[in-house]
Amino acid sequence: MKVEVKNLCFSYGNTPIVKNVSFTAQEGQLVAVLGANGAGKTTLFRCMMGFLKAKQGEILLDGQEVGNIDRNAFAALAAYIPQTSVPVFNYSVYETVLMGTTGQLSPLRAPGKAQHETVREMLRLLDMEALSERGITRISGGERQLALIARALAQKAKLLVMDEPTANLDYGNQHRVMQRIRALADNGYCVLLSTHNPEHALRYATHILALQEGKVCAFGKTEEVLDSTLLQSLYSIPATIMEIDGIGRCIVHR
Amino acid sequence: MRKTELSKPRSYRMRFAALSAVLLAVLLGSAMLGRFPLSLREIGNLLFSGLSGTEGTWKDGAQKVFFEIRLPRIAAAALVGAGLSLAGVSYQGMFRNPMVSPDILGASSGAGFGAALAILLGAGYFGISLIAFCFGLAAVFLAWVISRFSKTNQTLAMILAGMMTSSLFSAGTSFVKLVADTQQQLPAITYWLMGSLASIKKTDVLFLLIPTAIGALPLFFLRWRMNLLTLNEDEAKSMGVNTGLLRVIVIVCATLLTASGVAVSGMIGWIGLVIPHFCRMLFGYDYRRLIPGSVLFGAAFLVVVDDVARLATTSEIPLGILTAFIGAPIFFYLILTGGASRES
Repeated sequence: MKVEVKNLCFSYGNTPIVKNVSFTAQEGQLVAVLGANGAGKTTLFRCMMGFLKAKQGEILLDGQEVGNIDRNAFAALAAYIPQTSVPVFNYSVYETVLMGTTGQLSPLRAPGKAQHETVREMLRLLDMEALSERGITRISGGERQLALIARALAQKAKLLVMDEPTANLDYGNQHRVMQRIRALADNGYCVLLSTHNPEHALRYATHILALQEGKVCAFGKTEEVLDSTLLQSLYSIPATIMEIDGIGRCIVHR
Repeated sequence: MRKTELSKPRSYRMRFAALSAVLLAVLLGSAMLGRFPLSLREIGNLLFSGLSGTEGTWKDGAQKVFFEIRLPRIAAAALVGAGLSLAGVSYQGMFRNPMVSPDILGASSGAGFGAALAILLGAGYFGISLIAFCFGLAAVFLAWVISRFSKTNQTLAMILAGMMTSSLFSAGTSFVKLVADTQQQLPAITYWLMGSLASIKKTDVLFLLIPTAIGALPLFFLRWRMNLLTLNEDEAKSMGVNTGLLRVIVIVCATLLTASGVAVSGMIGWIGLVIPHFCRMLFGYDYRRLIPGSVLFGAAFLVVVDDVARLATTSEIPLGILTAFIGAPIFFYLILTGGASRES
């Protein structure tokens, strides 16, 4: 899986949101998209998923332009994981994950044996088997986020696009979910996630894409790009990165 | 773990079997009951001879009562009940709101206005149904066209446009009542709007059967995808669902079901709102089970309500009154308990 974004521009009416963004990502990478509120993170993701049509520029998934890929083929290439919200209908975790297999079916078909097998495999992968019959609105936010990740995995897509996967999660769940996501990248998925927490980026991301007012202000390997200058320009607070013995690099601010 | 996975589908199968048995018992019981009671043996003989063309033995007049009056009425009640509850469960998923009912886009108000207009113009019984049906479709089409002009969220625009056309057609109905002749037409309109299956004939059942089948079959075949329609638009699209097309199919089907039901039976509320909640209690949230479940449950429910309507007192009680008297307390219970909830 290779993602190439070239000179992407997008505006809502006359307001430009994404300005000339270019970057590439591939399997094995976890790219954290950083930026203040309104920097264009969500809009970038929505363009990449084909929900929004870019004005200018290209988005290629494995060399194919996003706009030219048909729906089912797209579902097999890229999966989208929205922010956790409590759904209206209390589907079981199993049913929720099963929905991810829909792209593998023709319109009038319901999931069959192969799809059920996929669901069991993904639930096993994320250690969620014990929750499979629980209602999705009755489990914790962290568990719900993992269920949505399992649903994305059931799509069998290699690109996972996650919009703030740790928003609304408590401290422990944030780290448990991030560890799972990093493990997926290590197992050959290409993960793109937006986050408001630079510590998550520092600890778990292989690459950083920093956006400021719709433009790329930094892109590269985490250890090369994420430094105090970037943190200060992104968040306007005096933060710095310190090496702590036995723990590694940490963000601290005065 | 294995055990729960294996036992789940079986328990739903048991519930489907039980619900089907209840529906069958309700249908048979309703066929027996009436001012002209029929025994089970007579019904068996009548059905057998009706199907095979041979002679059987039954009381004088039984054949006429059974085939001309009772069977059409029971069939119509079952079809209308199934159709309204199916339309309700589909709309609730599509609008991601369990408090939505089939008349949300104005199908009932449109049909009500059509019926009132037809009565004013002196149309016959079949004419009233036909005009009511056409106006029901027209009201929803109008709401849909209006919502297309909106630049905001399509779902919200559709609900608002539905409210608008509903109130427009309700006002139209009031106007028709105002100008109607108070001796004959006004009572006829009022009584029609309260809902009744008292004057159902064989031809009405056929008239009802066609749009009901056309509306129900696509929903049945698309029942898995209906689940994804309950998710946020972007999520559903990213999983390979053509949400725009699916939504149009659901609207067309649910409108056919609602408009044809209301056209034949008059305004019957509550079924499309309340029955889906019971079905979720019995079958969970998966539309693979909810769609067939709501058909069985809705059919059984309206047949029972119609039995009460024709048997409880010497004169007919309008169905709209009964379903509200039964539906409102149930709804109160749902408000108290927070709707159908999965304990786990």
